[in-house]
This record gives sequence, C-alpha cells and structure tokens, in this order.
Amino acid sequence: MLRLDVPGASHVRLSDLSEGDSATFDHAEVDASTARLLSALGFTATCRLLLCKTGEPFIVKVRDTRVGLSRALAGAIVVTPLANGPA
Amino acid sequence: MPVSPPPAPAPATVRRILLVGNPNTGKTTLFNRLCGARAKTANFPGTTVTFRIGHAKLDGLPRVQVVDLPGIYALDSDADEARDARRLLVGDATHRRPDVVVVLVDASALERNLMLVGELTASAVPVVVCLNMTDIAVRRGLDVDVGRLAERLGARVVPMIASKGIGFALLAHELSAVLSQPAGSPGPRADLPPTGAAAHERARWAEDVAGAVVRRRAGVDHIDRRTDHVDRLVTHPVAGTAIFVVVMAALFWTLFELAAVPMDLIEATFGTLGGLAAAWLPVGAVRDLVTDGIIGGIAGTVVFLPQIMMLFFLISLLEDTGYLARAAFVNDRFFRRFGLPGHAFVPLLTAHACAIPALMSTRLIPNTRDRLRAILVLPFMSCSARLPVYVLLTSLLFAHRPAMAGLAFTGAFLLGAGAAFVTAATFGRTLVPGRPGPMVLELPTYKWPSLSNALFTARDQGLSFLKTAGTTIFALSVVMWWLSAYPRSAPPADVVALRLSAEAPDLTATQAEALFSDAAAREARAAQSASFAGRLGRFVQPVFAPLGYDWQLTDAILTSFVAREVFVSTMSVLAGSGDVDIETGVITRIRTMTRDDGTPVFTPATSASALVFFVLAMQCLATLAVTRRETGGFKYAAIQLGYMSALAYVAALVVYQGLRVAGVT
Repeated sequence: MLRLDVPGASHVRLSDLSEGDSATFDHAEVDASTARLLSALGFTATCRLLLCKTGEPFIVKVRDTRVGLSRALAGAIVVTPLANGPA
Repeated sequence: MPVSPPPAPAPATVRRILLVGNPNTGKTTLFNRLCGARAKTANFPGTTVTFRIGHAKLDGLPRVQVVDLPGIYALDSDADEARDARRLLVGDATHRRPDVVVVLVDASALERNLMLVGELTASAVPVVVCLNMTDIAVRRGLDVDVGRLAERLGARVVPMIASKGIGFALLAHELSAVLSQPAGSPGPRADLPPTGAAAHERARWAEDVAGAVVRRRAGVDHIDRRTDHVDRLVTHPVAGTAIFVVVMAALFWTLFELAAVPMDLIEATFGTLGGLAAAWLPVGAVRDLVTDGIIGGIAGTVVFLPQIMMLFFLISLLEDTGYLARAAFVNDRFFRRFGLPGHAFVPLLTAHACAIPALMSTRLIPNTRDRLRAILVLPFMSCSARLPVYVLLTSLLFAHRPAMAGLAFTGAFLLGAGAAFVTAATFGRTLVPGRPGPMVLELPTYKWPSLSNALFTARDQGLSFLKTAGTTIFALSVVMWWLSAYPRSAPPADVVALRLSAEAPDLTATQAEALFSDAAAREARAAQSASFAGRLGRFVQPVFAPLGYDWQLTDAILTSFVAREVFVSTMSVLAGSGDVDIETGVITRIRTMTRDDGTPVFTPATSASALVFFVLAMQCLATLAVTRRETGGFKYAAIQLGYMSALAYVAALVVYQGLRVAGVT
C-alpha cells in the first residue's frame, strides 16, 4: 500500500460521500502503479474533488476533468469533506 | 522528471516537431491537419511504441517532420509511451532531439493539462502550446487569458479549435518563426516548476498558473449537468448494459452491411482480372503463376479490406464521441468475474480488427498482471484476418442455407470471446494469479466525432493490411503455387486413355467435353499429389488425420501458421491448379475440391472442425512477435502459441469425432 500524503483529522472515504459533495484529496491506499496513475490524473494532495455520481462507477470531477473510479477504488481514497461548492 | 540538458543537435536540413499531450486533447486531429495524407505509422529504432510520422509544409522551411506521440499524462510515468517520449525529447546517439515540441492542452481542463506542460517546458527544447478546444471551454464558462498564459509559461501559446481548423494558420506561423531561429536560441525565462519537480509540486504550479489565467463565469454549468445525466444513463447497470448491446449490435451490423458492397466489387474486379490474364497470356507456367498463384492467391484476402477499414473507422468514431471510456466501466462489472479489468474492453474490441494494435493498447491497463492476462487472451478474439476463413468455412458448412451460415459465423465470434474469458479466469487462478486491479479512467468530454480522423485511421490500417497482402501473402501465394505446381509430372495412364476415348468420332460434342473435363480434373489431382506441396502435406497429414483433414487441408493449415488469412489464398491456389475457370468464385472452387479417393475435402464434419480450429488457434507470427515485445521475452509468446494451438487441436478433434459419432460426416 502506498500513501500519497499524511492524513489529518476528519478524513472519510470518497465512497462515503454523496453526489454533489466536495472534498479535498488526502491520500489513496492503493498499489504504486495505481497511485502514480491517480497522481498523473490530477489526484494530488489537497486538490479539490466534486463527486458527480456514486455507485458503479463513481464519477469525480478533478481539475476540470471527469474521472471514473470503481466503487472499490473510491473506497480506498481518503478525502477531507468540504462545505458544498464548486470543485 | 529530471531531464538533462540536450546535446547540441547535429546540423540537419529536416526540422523535427514533436506533438505531445494528454489523451483526448485533439493531437491526432492537429497531426492530420498538419500532415494530411502524407503520414505513415512507424517505430523509431530502439523504441517499442508506434508513432505516426508525417511531413508538414511550413512557410520558408524546406522539410518539416512531425512526430505524433501517443497521449501521455506525465513524462515521469513508467509506461512505455512516457519512456520513449523522454528518449525522443532529450535525444541520444540514435535519436536527434526535436527542434520544437508542440504540446496540446485542453482549454476546458487547463489545470490538469498544465502538469504535463510543466515537465515539457523544463526540457530546454522550445515549446509551443496549442490551447485546443477553446470553444468547449467557453461553453463551460471558462475564459483563458492567452497573453498572460504565454507570459507565465515563457512559451508561444496558440488558441485553437483543431476540429474546425481554427488557429491552424497562426500555429503554422508560430512554428515557422520558432524553426527559423538558430538552434538553441534561448527562449524567454518564466516561472516554471523546477527540473525534476515531483507531481504534487507540478500540480501546485499548475493550480497557480490556471488560477491566474482562467476566469470562471458563474451560472454556466448546463454542459456539466447534461454530461452528468448522460453519464448516469450510459453507466447504469441495466440501461447502460442495454445501450452497450445496442451500440455493439449497430456497429457490427453496419460493418457487415456496408462492407458487402465494396467486397462484391473487389471480388468481381479480381475475377475479371483473372479472366483477362488467362485470355492474354499464353498457356504455360507464366499464365498459371499469374492467374492461380498471384491473382487467385491475393483475391481471397484483399476482398476483406473493406471490413477491416470499416471496423477501424467505426471504432475511431466511437472513441471520438467519448462513449468508449464509459463502456469500459459498463464492461468492468462483467470482465471482473473473469479476472480482467474494464480497461481491457477497448483492447478486446480493437482485437476484432487486429490483435497487434489491441496488444499495444493494453498499455492503458495500469496493473501489470491484469495487462498480462489481457495480452495472453486477446488473440482469441476474432480478428479481421479470421473473417475470410470464417466466411469460407461457414459457406462450406452450410452451402445453401445462408441463415445457418450466419449463425455459425456468429457462433465462431462467440466461441472466440468465450475462450478468451474462460482462459483469462483460468490464468487468473494459475499462471498469472491475482484479482483485477481497481478501475480508474478519465472520462473525456462528449463531442461529435471527427470524420476525417476516422477516415485517416481507416486508411492507415487499410494500408497496413495491404502491405501485408502485398508482401507476406503475395510471397506465400507464389511459393504455394510453386510448391503445388512443381515438379511437373507426366499425365497418368488413365488420363491419357480418357483423352484418347474423348477423341473417338462417334461421341457427341457434349460427351467429348465431359470426358476431357474429367481427364483434366484427374490430371490436376495427380499433379498436385506428386507436387512438393502434396508430399509435404502427406508427410504431416497423419497428425491432422484425426481431425478429418487430408493433405491439401493440412497444407493450408501449415501455411496459415504464418498468418491466418493465408489459409484462403492457399486453398484458392490448390483449388485453382487444375483446368478450372478462374472466373468461378473462390468458394465454389474450394467446395468442389476432392481428396485422392474422389470424396469431398470439405464435409460438414471437416468444415466444422476446421472452423473451430481457426477460431482457437494462434496463427499469426506478427502477433507472437508483438506479444514477445510487450511482455519482454519469449516465455509468454511461447505459452500463447502452445496453449492456443493445443486447445484448437483438442477442440477440433472433439468436434470432428463428435459429429462422426452423431452420424454427421
């Protein structure tokens, strides 16, 4: 497992959020190659995420792009929820 | 990523432009606009990735080479594409570094795209930034300050809508200006991320730059809302699956319906050519070579060119719309049960056209073991090279029942796909154990597909196929004709006797013609039997006898291990070696082939057995070569050849013997 960043307080799993919720990316509990891919797709520490769709797949807006994630991967991504607003 | 200062380039009259960018930024569209039809697909020495290379016409410059790299998200990735991009960018003993790098960025997703720009601008090669899809950015309420962006990047920035050709003239002007400067001219310095900066540092820099140059208009989010609605629909477990089935059915229906017209035309053209050659050339070895060896051999393969081009055309259109990425998630649910991730969907679909680009597209599968499983099973999918064989064998199997032939044809596709999934599941528990990695994929913006991009893709793949047909298949056709025509043997005694009796004065013209025809057929069979091909086929035939194959079918099976489509040309050459009217259709000629004892070569049982063999067998040297390259050694290529051939043999044996037991012979 690779941690991309040190988690702080009030962290939750991306899969725990609801559609329309915003959060900041904290870290992902995934293997190294998936971590590198997430990083290249824009998932770096403190970047803002907007959850567009839950279920299979989860669809997340990150840095103005849309990224699809399997439910399992969404459960491995740790985020810090924000008050609702644009990502 | 760390990029060392490049060596001073050697003086060269050809200037080189490298096109780089994230996937789905319009690189291919820009490349096609720059180079038009003057492009080819190639590998640079020592690289594993295939690039498109073309030449652009720019004012004041004699020759400008344009190299289109596959889409990448980051240079510091361990993917083959990124590694080769680094080599080409920096230059070494075998690769001259480019004179300018053109980096395509999606204006509607500037922040993420800038992360790659940050790596490229640190490379010391002049960079021109193409700010593409500005129309989509405006519709999404994003206004980019181009001047300020150029200032922050220290590079020329060209706003562009590549799909409409807008901004192309300005880009050509800027490229001419950069390329006209002496090599190594220093560009303006800017506030760039440090060389070797980590991803999170480049991300912070990209956030900072995007924050300074992008103004967001409030209340313009209808496109995002619409995208949300469409995404929910096309990825829905039930509706999404139904849409996927309809899209795939429409794709394959269009493929077979539209391709039928040019296929008939090509077949008729080759028939006419054969007739003309037979009429013009004097009777003898040269005429036999041209009509039987060359025209007869190639006709059976080239006729399927329209299907190959059409499939790539349709896949390109679908890919452009943005739907394929969503379809990958729909398939992920099903694929995962068999040890494959949804990422494998695009490679598996592409494999219906050709296994080679499909094998290369497995690079988008991030997990190594998932990728290996996909590589090992991809050749089971029914590629376009199998189509001529399927058409031939299903037509032989159900001669006057086109509906049944169609069902058998569909069954062959399903058998290949089924074998792929079952094998993937088996390998997931044995040879390459492990569960599929998590699925993550960028979902590109929905947009109208580019017709010109699809046409260029179809043309490239068609040319690639013709190149194979014009080299490998042509050579094998000639070799097979020679092997089946030599050594020449004297007519057997029964043939001489038949001809003598045909000249008897009391026979009618019809009776005499029938006797001459019978004599010609017997002579052809005797000549084939005594030929080199006949001897080789007879030597190996005992291995294939349990499958119901005679020496002719064995010959065709052996040659098709080089490339499957050679099967049809080999059978065509073998069937055409007698006094057979060259204008007779290929299938009819093959259907009337007989064994040495006069019984048909193709019974329902042998046709079904051969069909199953061709669905499952690994018969493509080029695919094995790419498997070896993609897996880094011979091991998996050998495994692929071994298990697919063994499975094909056993399955064909079961089918033949089973049908015999059931009374179908």
